[in-house]
Amino acid sequence: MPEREEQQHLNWKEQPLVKDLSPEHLELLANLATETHFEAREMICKEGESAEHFFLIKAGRVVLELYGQPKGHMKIDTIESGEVLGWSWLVEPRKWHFDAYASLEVEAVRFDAAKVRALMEDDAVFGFALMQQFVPVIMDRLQSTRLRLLDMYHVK
Amino acid sequence: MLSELQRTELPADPMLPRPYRIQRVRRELPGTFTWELAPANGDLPSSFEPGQFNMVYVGGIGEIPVSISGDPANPEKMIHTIRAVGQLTRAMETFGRHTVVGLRGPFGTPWPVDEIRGRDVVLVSGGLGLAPLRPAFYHLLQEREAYNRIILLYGARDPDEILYRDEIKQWRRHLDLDVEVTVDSALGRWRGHVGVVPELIKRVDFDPERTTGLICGPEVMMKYSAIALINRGVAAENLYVSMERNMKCAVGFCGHCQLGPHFVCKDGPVFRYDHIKSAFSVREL
Repeated sequence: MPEREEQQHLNWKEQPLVKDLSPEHLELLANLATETHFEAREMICKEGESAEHFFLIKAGRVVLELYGQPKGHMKIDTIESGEVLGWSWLVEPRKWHFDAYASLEVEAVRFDAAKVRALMEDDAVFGFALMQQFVPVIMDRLQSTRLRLLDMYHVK
Repeated sequence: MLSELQRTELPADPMLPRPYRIQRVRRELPGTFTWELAPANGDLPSSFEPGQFNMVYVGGIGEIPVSISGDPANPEKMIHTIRAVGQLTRAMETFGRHTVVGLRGPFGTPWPVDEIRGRDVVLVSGGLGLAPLRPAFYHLLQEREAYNRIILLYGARDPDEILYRDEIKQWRRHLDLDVEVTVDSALGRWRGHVGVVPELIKRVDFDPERTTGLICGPEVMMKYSAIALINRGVAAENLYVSMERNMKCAVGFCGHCQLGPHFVCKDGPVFRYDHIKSAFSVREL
């Protein structure tokens, strides 16, 4: 059941991840942002690699995959327009925990993680403000994982 | 709502099953099948409203409530989708065409499809929960001009467990509908959404102030879907859920399906969410 390919280009500065940042903090972040593009099926990151970036997805769809026998490649989540890909850069050992690739063509904003981290360390107010934006993202993903643990559609 | 067919009155005794013959059996998924039934004695079929259910009786084995999953404008085909999970439903799974079973009904409260004309409608379903919502969706399609946005969100365990798969593919071709499917996880060539169905609610476009949500699926799915809709700004009084309990008499006499102060068979199965939401947090209820 292929997905309809809808491209909706967004102003990333209005997205939930950053919209509550002050104009000054947004400007700091904007200086570390690069517009980027991935073709459908293009790899974005690989499990175990150094997490040197995170991404705000403007359009398209990113699939997160885990690999392990006996199941092989299992799709565990999708990240879509307005959502953020990656928080491994925040936490030691700063390595990706999954593979991610573009399922549909992706337009994204890439952030240099080391520079963002350095800014957060230099400016604790900025650091706290950005963490306040990331924690709800992490909480949403955790809640989604918990719901799936319930295996709610399975009837014995 | 009712077809041009003459409405047939329920038997005077609602406890008395009417004979229906299986006209067609469709294997939907492993262990899940759909019956198309018609009156066995030449009677006109009973009309029904979307969201209602019948009691399906199999002589010598028992009787169970089953939501009607067909088109309310086409009641001559009484459609039931059933999952084989117990002694009775496993026996039913073996029945072929021409088998006669008993039906009592239709019973229960419907989805409020007429009251919500002019509004955005978000239908959220999961697993077999698409079956009781399908009659409402058929109605919205037939009366498309009477509604604003129509959005169907459906969640399944994996791509092999998507109910009514061919029909969903057809619905997705409509340019005036948003139909999105997500799975809990996927192997192979799946290119769609992966994640739980409440997550889709964040990703679709509707006007919360003029939206009604119709939700059907496992209770935990309904609870978190309702929360996601409320977080988007939809008022709790504009959300409806279809509850499932162990209906026996289906007319509010026996109390088997009691849920707090409600009898699900008579006061439900479709409830306004704010009337029933306390039940979602009561354990063992």
